[in-house]
Parts: sequence; C-alpha cells; structure tokens
Amino acid sequence: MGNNKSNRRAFLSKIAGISCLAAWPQLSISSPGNNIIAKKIPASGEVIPAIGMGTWISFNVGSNIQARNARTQVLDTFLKLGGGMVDSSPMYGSAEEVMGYALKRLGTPKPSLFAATKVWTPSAEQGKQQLEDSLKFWGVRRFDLYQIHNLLAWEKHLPILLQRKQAGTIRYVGVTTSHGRRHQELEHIIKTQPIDFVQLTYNMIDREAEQRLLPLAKEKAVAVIANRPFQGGDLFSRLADKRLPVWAKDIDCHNWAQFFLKFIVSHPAVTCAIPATSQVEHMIENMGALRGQLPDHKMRMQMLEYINTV
Amino acid sequence: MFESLQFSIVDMTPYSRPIYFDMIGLYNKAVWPMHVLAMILMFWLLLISIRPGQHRVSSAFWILGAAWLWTGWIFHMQYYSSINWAGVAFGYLFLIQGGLLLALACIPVTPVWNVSKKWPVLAGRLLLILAIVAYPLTGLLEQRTLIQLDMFAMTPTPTLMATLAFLLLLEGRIKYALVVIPLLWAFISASFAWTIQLLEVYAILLVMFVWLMSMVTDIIKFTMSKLQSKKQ
Repeated sequence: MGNNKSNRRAFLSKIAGISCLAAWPQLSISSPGNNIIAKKIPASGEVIPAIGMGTWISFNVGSNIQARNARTQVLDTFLKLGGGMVDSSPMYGSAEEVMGYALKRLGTPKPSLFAATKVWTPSAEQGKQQLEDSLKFWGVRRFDLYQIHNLLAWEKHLPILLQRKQAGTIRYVGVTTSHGRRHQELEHIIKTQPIDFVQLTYNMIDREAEQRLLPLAKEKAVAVIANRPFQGGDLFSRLADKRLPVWAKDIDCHNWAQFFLKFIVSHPAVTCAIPATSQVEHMIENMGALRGQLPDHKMRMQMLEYINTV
Repeated sequence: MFESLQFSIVDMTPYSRPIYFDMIGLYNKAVWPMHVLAMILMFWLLLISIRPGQHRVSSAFWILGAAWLWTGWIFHMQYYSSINWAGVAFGYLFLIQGGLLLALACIPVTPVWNVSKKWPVLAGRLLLILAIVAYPLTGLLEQRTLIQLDMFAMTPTPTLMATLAFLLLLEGRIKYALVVIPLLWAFISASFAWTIQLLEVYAILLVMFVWLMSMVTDIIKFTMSKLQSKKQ
C-alpha cells in the first residue's frame, strides 16, 4: 500500500537483515518469535510473505454490515499473522469496497499490506476510471500491484499501466489468468512484455503451469502468484475423510490447508499463493503455512504421490 | 470481440449462497411493506388465470409489466448489483421486458386467451401456482429464513416463472415476442442457480422445458396446417 512509504520501508528494512540469512528462493522473514517464509520479487528484490489472501467470493458481501465486520476480522488475522499480499478485482462485486471498509476499521495505513488489484474492462478509457475507482474503494494512494484481469484487452491496458508505474501510481504491473485458461497467450506475454508479476492457477491437481509457464517466469524474472490454491475447495472435499500423512509434520504441516499451500509456495518459481476465506479459523490454518519448513523436491514428489494415491 | 466474452458462468457468480440469501433478506427488509401490494397483485393474477375474461388480459400485462419494472429497477439495480457486477445490465433487461408488457397493456390489440383445454393451458395454470405459491416456499428447504424468501413481483425468479406460465395461456404469435427476454433470463438465472446450487435451477428448467414443448407443438401444428392448405 502506497500511503505510508516510510512505514513500509521500516518494515522491510526490519525484515531484510534476517531474511538475508536464508537462501533464495525461500527466504525467512523474522519478527519477534516468528520466522515467516517469504519470497523475493525478482524484478526488484523486494521480499514479500509467501502466503497472501484472495478476495474472490469471500469479500463480496455487499452492504451487509455484519458480514463486513466478520471480513474485517479475517483481514486483521491475516495481517497479524504476517500476511502481506491482498488481491482483489473490480470483477469481484463489492470486494474492493469491503476491503476499503475493513482497512478503514483496522486503521490504515498497514505497513505490511501489499495491495493488489486488477483492471477488468475491454476499454482503455474505462480502465483508467477503474483504477481511480479502485483507489477510492480501497482508500489507498497507490497500488503495490496492478494486474490485467484474465488478459482482457491487455494490449490496450499494458502501455497505460507501464506509464502509471513510471508515474508512481502503481509499483508493479502484472497479468492474470485462472482455471488454466489462455496459457499460450500468457506465455507470449511473459516472453515479450516487461511485466513484473503473473497470476495463474497452480495447485496440487492443476499443475499444467509447471510444464512451461513456471520455468519461463523464473527465467524471465517474473514473480508468480498462484490462485485457486485449493482448487476452489475441491481439494478439501476430495480429502475430507483422509488423515494427513504422519510425515507431514516433517514440513510443519498440521492440516490439509498447510499441506496444499506449502506444496505451492515451495516451487522455486512461485512467489505467493493467495487462498481466500471468509472465516478467521481458516485464515489461521492458512497462515500456518507461512511458518516452519518448506518441502524440498523429494518431499514435493512424495506429497504428490500421496495425493494421487488417496 | 471474442476476447470480451471470455468469462464463464463462474466469473459471473462472484458471491456465495449465504451472501446471496443475506442480500435478499436485506432487500426484503428494506422494501417492506411493498410485499403487501405484491401479494394483492399475485392473487389478482391467479384469479385472472382461473377466470379469464378478454378485458382481463390487459390487467395481467399491467401486473406483469409492473413486476418486471420493479424487479429490474429496485432488485437488480439497487441491491443485486452490490454483489454482481452485471446487476445493472440485468436491470436494464428487466426494464425492457417490463416496458414491452406495459406497452401491450396499453394498446387496443392485445393477445387473446387460449380457450381450448389443450395441455399448454393446463400446464400454464399449474406453473403459475408453482411460481407464485409453491416455488417461494422451497426456499425453506435451502435453510433460507422467512425474510430471505423469493416472492412474485419482488424477486426475479418467481416473476420470470409467472410470466412464462402466463404466456402459455395466450393464443397467437405475439407471445413469442414477449418470451425472448424471459427465456434469455431463464438461461442466465439457471446458470447462477446451478453455480451456487439453488433449488430454483429445477423450477426454471421445468418452465423452460414446458415452453420448449409448447413451441414444438405450435411448430408441428403450423407445419401441418401449411401442408393441408397446400394439398387443398
């Protein structure tokens, strides 16, 4: 979030010294009594927590005050447990407005917040207006990350976003896709355009991105955000009656959410996973994945094998 | 152009089932006591369908037109749009349909009742009762509270179902001009309902199926009469 530059700088410098102790891609951000798993944004070297938060469905609660206050608690929990990136979009109904409500109630500015949203319109002119609206809804002066939603009219929006980046209204520029759609076009954009972030679907079942997109993003120094980390909840349904394997403790996983998330963020090309939830208890579970050991390659294979057998 | 159509049904349903029910609850609470008026219109429409007199066709169009206008302007544009980016566009769709129905209520040449005892008429009457009385109560099976229930002239689905049911009671081709937006909305609405697993998906599919059968019957009848006139 751009409305408190000095706070952000102080926060980052506080974590930077300790984070240097660990090797890339996995860095460890330390705050008193806590080691947080963090990743570098390749374009700048800035370090962000590896677990973020999505707002799809979960924050679209309209004008329901009770639900808005409940989401405020979810955001508060996320930030208190070391979360950074919050991702939204004008397509998510009232989610941006609700995010602004929650931030206001929590008392902005939040130095650790990494505010990410998107442009979602076929028109360049409307896109400009959408950025202004999003800034107003969130109650921030600039976005840390501004993305082109589902690659919609990306040729029109990208030059404008790059200009905005130069002007300082946004810090990083990205493009997004989900559900494995338009991967070929995404590949073309990563190869040819000066983007900082790419957002795509990656989880223990949807692993198409491992073939070309993740290696390419790593090669081109593009940060990767993994959306749908629980496959829209299907992963939980699939394993509802299954116990976590005993060896999950070796990588500090105490529930399925942590198991799924650690698999994702342990990929060397992945910068951040953005699970969405409307419940504080689930947020606590998710944020547990921000601590402890990450699986190495051998363990990742073991995790996949386990999922495939159950 | 195709690029702008790259969104799926899932993209168009950015809310959860409880939030959708909550939104209806907030809406119902805010617009009370309009429900009293809606209930009067509801029973009036039922009465018209049971005792159809030619002068009553216009009355039915007034009722249905008002229901579509209210649902579009208030429900879609003011409330549903808070959780769905497409809410305002849906509102316009409802306003157009409302306008068409009111226009037909005003002009002297109105469609006539289908006076025969053919199956579409019976199906239309049964579906009207389903739309107005039975369907809203199915909300209780979905753990909706009383304040979160759908109602004819207040929320889209019973309004849609009642309109499609009522049009089955009419004779002539004009009804096909009036069915375009309702059938389009039926498809959109059933898609939303399917995404968040609402029971209304079955009710809408039933009405759509009956309409499809009615159209097939009309096409067969039309083709047969053409063939007969050619022979003569």
